[in-house]
Amino acid sequence: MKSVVFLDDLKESDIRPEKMYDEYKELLRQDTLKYFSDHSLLVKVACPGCLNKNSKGVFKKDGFNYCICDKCGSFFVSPRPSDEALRDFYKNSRAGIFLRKKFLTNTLESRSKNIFSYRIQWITGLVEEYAPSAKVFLDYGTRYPTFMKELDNTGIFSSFFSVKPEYFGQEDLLPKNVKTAEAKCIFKEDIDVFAAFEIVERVFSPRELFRQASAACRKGGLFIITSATSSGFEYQVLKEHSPNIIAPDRLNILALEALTNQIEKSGFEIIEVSTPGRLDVEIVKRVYEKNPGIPLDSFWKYIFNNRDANALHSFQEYLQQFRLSSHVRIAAIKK
Amino acid sequence: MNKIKLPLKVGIIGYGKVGRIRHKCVENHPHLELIGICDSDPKALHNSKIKHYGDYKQLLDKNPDIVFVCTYNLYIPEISIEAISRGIHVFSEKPPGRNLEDVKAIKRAAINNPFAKVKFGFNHRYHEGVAEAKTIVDSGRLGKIMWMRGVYGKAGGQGYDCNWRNNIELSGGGILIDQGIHMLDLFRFFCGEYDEVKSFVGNSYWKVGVEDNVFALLRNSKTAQTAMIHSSATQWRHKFLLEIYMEKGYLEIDGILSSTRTYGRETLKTARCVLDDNKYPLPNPQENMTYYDNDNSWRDEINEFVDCIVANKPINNGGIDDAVKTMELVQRIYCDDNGKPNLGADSLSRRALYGRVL
Ligand SMILES: [Zn+2]
Repeated sequence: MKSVVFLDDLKESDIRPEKMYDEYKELLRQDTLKYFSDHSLLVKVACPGCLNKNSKGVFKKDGFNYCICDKCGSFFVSPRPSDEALRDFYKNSRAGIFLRKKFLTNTLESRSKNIFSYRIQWITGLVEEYAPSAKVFLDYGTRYPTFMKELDNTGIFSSFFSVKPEYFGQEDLLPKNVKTAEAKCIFKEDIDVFAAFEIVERVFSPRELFRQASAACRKGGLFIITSATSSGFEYQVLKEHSPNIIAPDRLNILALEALTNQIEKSGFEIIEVSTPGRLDVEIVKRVYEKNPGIPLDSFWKYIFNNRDANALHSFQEYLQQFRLSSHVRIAAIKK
Repeated sequence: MNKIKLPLKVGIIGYGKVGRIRHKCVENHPHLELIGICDSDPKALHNSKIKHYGDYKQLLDKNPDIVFVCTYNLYIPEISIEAISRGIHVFSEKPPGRNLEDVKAIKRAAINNPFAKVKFGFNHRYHEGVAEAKTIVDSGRLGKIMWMRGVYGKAGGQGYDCNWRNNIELSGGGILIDQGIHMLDLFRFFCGEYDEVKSFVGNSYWKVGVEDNVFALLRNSKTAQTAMIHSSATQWRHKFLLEIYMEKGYLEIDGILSSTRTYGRETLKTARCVLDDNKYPLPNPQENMTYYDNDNSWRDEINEFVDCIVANKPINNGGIDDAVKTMELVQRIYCDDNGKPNLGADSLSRRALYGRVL
């Protein structure tokens, strides 16, 4: 197994412009109260990381109850909206419309530069090394049709599928050669690369997603995900004060080991686990500076007050090196 | 048509540290079954239930399909040749004998007995960092290799001067033939052959009758691709570093996973050469690092060997031709084009190091 580290700089504002992000979160807060205030519509779930049933709510955020699993350390919302309710929410709520009409569109260029290019490098490298004959690519829960286009430009794949693009209202924006599909059962061991970027956090059941990926991938096919992880510095230190714990966007913030265990159990061999997140230290520092009263260990306050950008950069690098950043990417091969 | 009967019966000859590692690999392979171990010291087996042989020929008489030769370098040719001539597949540790003559003798046996597959333990090719670097090089996306620079150093450490590896009769040489040979194999793995060799072979510190430091330059006169190796037993720490510089970027493998983990975390650094507006390279391009957690090199080289036997495929990594070519480099580093040793001022006497071997 391997782990990759990225040493260049990235600012949170590059991918999540603060004003727009705050506007989105405010809409989300108002809409969730409207859509999900009737808790009888919500479903109680066991820990999606390890199926432990005994976790209790630890904090509330925008009316949702977040649990921290005492067995595996995953953060998750329970009770939570069903899959159908989520789909309806993203399609029709003001927040959902804002997300796709404004947020996704306006961050496209910076995402292309700061995120898509890395993803494409990642996919190219993995295919070269582990699946040189790969032709069929599947993107689960497509949010950025442009990414599919950029990937198409590499000439590696001849066939593209997008599953559930309507989740984010992207179906009309997909390049013409991308076929859309429902997740259920149409794939049977015919996918070479199954990608799920930042989607584990949002689905009702991550386990079901892994099961579908396993059913869809051919033997030797690749399953690749990116996700937020509760094992990382940002979430461990800030917990409910993290500006990125937002529901229902992040129903599941699974622990690193919970993610890898479940993927392995679904029939994959893990070949890479990296936490290439570049933002933890910046985010924690910013939250502390905005709100010095939050319960933060004095050690971190000391670092932020007394050490320069160099020290913080090295610290973020350390987090990456030892898989302690809050953004994880995993690659696995179907057994 | 030769029919393979599984599992393949295996004998291990020589049961020191490496013999025990091979034993584990055999145990974990579904197509292999260990039928006996030969070691001059029966106590080496630590009461294992496996049948012990004091004489390797008795073990060969049991008709194993494969033998692993994990002895001192001195015995590798004799045992390998005997096994090959009986049609037994041979997996031998590196170096493939003490000198070029040894490995050429093994090659003659292999040519006369083409059924027997022969492979040597150049396991570094199977390290994940090396394999990933090879994929990147072969993809051509960073252009052609221009040069490589390799450092393989040992701390020396406790008992270094008493180690059999420094006994010329048993080993044939010092740090280069023991450890530096892996780096030479990797130079060839990435870049092919070298016809020009310049070197200094010295004994700076240990005074053990074999070299403890080698500096060598290798060049392919047609392509101008150049490689530089420093193989050292006075590094005062364990160190592995292989830098591969190409037309459009570079790779560096720093650290290599070993059983002791003392060569550092295996890391592959990759970077592209980034040009400024005037098309000149920027001094600090962005570098990405990949860290590796597991050393599966021993397992993977055995898997490949067994696959080649079962499917009757040629040995493409660490076969007899690789062994001969790499030993040719060792020989040329040890002595110049006139056959004279390339000794530094601090070096050994010619007789002490080379009188017997070359
Ligand atoms: Zn759990």
